[in-house]
Amino acid sequence: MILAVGAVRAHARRSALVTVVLAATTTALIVGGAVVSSIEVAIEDSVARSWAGHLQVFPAERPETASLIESVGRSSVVHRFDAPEKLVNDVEQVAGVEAVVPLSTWTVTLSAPIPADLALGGLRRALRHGAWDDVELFGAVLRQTAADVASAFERQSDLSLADRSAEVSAARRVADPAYWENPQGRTAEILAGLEADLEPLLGESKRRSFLALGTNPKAFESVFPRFRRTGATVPAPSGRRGFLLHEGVYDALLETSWGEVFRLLRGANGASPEAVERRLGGLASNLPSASGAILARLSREERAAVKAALDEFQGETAGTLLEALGRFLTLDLQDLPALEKKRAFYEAELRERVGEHLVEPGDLVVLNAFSSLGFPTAQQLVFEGTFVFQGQEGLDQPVISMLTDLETLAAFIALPTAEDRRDFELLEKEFEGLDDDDGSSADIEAAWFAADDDATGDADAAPVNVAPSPDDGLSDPAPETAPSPTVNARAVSDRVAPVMGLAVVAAPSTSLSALRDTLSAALGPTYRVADWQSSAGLLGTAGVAFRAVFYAALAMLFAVAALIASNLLLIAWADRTRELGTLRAVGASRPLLVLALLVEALLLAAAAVVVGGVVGAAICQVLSTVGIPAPDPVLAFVFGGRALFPTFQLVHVAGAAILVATTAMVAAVYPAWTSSRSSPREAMS
Amino acid sequence: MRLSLLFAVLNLKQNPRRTMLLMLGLAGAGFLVVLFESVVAGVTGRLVDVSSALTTGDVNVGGVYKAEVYRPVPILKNGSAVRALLAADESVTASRERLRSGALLVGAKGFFSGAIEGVNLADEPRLRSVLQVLPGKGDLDALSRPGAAVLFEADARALGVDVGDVVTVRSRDVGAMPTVADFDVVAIVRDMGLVGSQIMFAELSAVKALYHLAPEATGSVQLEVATGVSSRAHEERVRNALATNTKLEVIPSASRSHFGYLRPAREAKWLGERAAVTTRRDEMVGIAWVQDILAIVGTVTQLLIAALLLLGLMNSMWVAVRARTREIGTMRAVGMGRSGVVGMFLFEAALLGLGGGLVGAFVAAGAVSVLQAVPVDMPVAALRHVFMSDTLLVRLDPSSLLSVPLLLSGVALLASIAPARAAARIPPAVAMREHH
Repeated sequence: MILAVGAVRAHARRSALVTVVLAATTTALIVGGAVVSSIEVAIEDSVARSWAGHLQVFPAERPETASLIESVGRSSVVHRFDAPEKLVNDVEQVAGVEAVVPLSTWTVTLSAPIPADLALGGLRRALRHGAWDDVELFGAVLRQTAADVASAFERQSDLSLADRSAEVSAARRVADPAYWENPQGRTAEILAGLEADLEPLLGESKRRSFLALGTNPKAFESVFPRFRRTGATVPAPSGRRGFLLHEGVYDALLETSWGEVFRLLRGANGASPEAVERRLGGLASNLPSASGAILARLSREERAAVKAALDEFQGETAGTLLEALGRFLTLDLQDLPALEKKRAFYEAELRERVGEHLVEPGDLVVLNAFSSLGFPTAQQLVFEGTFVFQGQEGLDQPVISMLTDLETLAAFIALPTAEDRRDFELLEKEFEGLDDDDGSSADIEAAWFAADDDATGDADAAPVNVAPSPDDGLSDPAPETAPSPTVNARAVSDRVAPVMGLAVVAAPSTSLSALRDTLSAALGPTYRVADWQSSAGLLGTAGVAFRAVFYAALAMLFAVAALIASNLLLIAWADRTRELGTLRAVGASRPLLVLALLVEALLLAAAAVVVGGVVGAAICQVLSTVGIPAPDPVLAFVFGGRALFPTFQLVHVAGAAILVATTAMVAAVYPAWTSSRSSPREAMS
Repeated sequence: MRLSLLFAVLNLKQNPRRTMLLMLGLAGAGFLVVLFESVVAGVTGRLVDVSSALTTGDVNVGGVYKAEVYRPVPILKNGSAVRALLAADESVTASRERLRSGALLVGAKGFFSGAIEGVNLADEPRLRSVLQVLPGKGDLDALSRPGAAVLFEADARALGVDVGDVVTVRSRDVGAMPTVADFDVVAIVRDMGLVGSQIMFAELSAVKALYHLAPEATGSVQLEVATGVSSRAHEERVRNALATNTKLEVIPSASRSHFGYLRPAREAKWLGERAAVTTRRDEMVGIAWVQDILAIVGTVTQLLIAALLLLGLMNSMWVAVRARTREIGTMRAVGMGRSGVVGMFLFEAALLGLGGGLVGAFVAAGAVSVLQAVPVDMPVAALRHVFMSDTLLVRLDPSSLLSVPLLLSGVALLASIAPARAAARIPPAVAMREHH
């Protein structure tokens, strides 16, 4: 040891180089390690702290490959727990478990109401109440819509083989002003005509299917820190079911072009007038139909107030509300002051009254799904508000788009009731019988439809059967009907909403693998415990892939460092033949010399760890304040936000210490062996 | 100059152990760099192969058709004419039509919202080469039959269908009217990791019929260009060809995928037809990050390796200069100029770098062919998924056999500049006096 310290001192420059080489690899390990583990923490946060928990409990029969967020809702086989409440209690008892949240997922479709639909509603009300001004107002919106539909079909004629001539003439009829003359005497006629002519053409302009999460919303919100509500929340009144929608989906699906105009005006401060005008120009052509949606949301008084305000803004009083809105937009935008004026006017006069989305919190919305048996289910639900998962705001396609309670989701899934199952069994038997008989197709058809009527009848009723009445409350799924765990899943009471998995949040500083083993042992073979990586599918595995690539690069770096250090030491120690020979002459054995040289290498490694650690920590410090920006949304998810802030971790220094020491040893063995070979005589001569 | 080279060679010969050791270090570095590059090339090559087969050509022309405000559809009205025009370019080696759309796929036991992509099998040698039919699960050739479709394994399982079964596809046609059609599953293929799920490949004319499209209309025309022509350069050519020969207006490039142009088109004022010209990179949005990360990690690692080598070599050159001070003095005394001394050291370093690099690179080439002959399994499921392969794919870029040794000799040159200049500055008299 003394020899080694002395040697390091005596050959400071040579030693310094070896230290620098090893220190560089240490720094690479520390910085790279900080980046990779920050990514892993970010992904874990993005998944585990947003909706999935650290561990998930599933029924054992659920396929192992099925991830919590991907595969559920794609198949008619619903794997669920027999007795969710008891299970939640059991899991909560396990040491190291901080919280348990029941989860179910299903694919749900939201069809945005189209502006013309809302205008049609406004027209109906106006006709019924004899509000002729309003009839004129909404009529203008619908005339425009019909003209748009007709010309769209005409434009498509060279693209599409489908014959749309009947639709075109129907739309042209509605677009013709003659259709709207003397509405006073023709109320019924106009309404019937609209229903026959216009309504079938409107279709659904925007619809999107997404993953809905059923859970206990209150528990979910308190357990997952990354779940955050945005904007106003309007709780569903008692007796009504409600849901929350992801902000991104809400904006993409339910924003009117008016909403975009207003958003544009609000955000216009930084934009050039040309850019704003370009955007407005694009939106302006969509406004006639969008205004139908906004106007339909306003009461007559509000409409009058909006029109008065717009007229005042224009400094003139003429035309309809629709025209006034149109003028508000087409006002000369060449100079910024005009834009500013508009923005101020919008803020002061219109914002409170004019809606920006087709649906505002508190409104009723129809959502569709396919039940577990494949038939359509639909529910009218109260839209309660929006949410985001913190750090994932940039994702266009959020992983979870909708949150509701278990019972509401159950109504979409519509598991077959006991009655349904009996009917299906009967049906199957009848089918088998028919096959044997070689019956005529007419018989088969008759049997099908006779049975089908029953089945359909029950199927239609299924959502009602499955869902408890609203009085049951949203978070209290009828515990008295919970059967014992020994009962087969298929015979579970129809009144219990299916729970497909549990999200388990681990207490701080609990080992996840240990907790996983404890849970598996405590719950037995009827349940499977998965970690968040496997449950999150690709997202969970991205971290593993990053780490593998990083390790490969690191291994290369250390191999090169070992080669170079070895070379450096060889040269350095070759110079000391004389010194080493002297030592041997005074009685040092060869193993002792090798040991001394290895200790010397270790001392250099220690210095490298210190130097590399300091540099690495400094780089981490800089990165953790500056951040590594995420260039695209996928990486934004992986980074847990717009930038990654890697933090220095002591554990990497420890890892570096072990690795660098090993590398130094490996590098030093050969040089030490050859250098110590020098015989005393040769050295002294 | 020749003298310097001669002395450099002599020096290397004179000191065989040192030469061997330095060569070994450089060869090790060369080996690792070439091996790593081969792995990166293998992985990115696979990504490119898969994306070429499934989603994109080198350059694509996708349609954006707006018959009404708010509803652009990804349709190219005169697809056949556009394809004929663009395929006439001599650098285009292959072209194909694709028609992709979102749809609800319904099977016997399940359903999901996914996509259906119409393909014409005769134009799809790449699709054939990438899709692997599961044993006993049909025949890819049958995809040319009208109404035929191919499913990925996981999707077939989710739908509960097998070869010979029917998948019902529900969607909306170009006029937003509901449309439905049945497709016959003729083959089930292996899953493809990152990109191969929730998509069904189907025979093109049946998909056109589903969307009530005229025969000449299509979704996009995808072009493959000869190697050596960059996608960006060819993109320009395609834009020019479309501008001069058709009335089709091309949307200014925004580095989006074909479908990425639909959203901005929704709000845009225009009605009618436009074309979106995209490159492979634009279309690979979902998997390009894998490539990026490999490239970033690869570059950083290589830079660090170069830095380490620089340090190590510089040190050994300093040692060499000191050890040979006397020798240098003699040479200077007998008339060798300063530049001669510098040249000698530089040649020595360059030869070392080149030699070591060549040895390392060729050993790595051997390792690559071993890895190709005896495939190594990917250790982690995540890697199999992200890299879309069960085994570690390596692909040797022959140019790296030369570029890496050259790079290494460059590093060695850089490392020896300062020591060489110092050696040249030593006055001959001082050098001669120096005792070792």
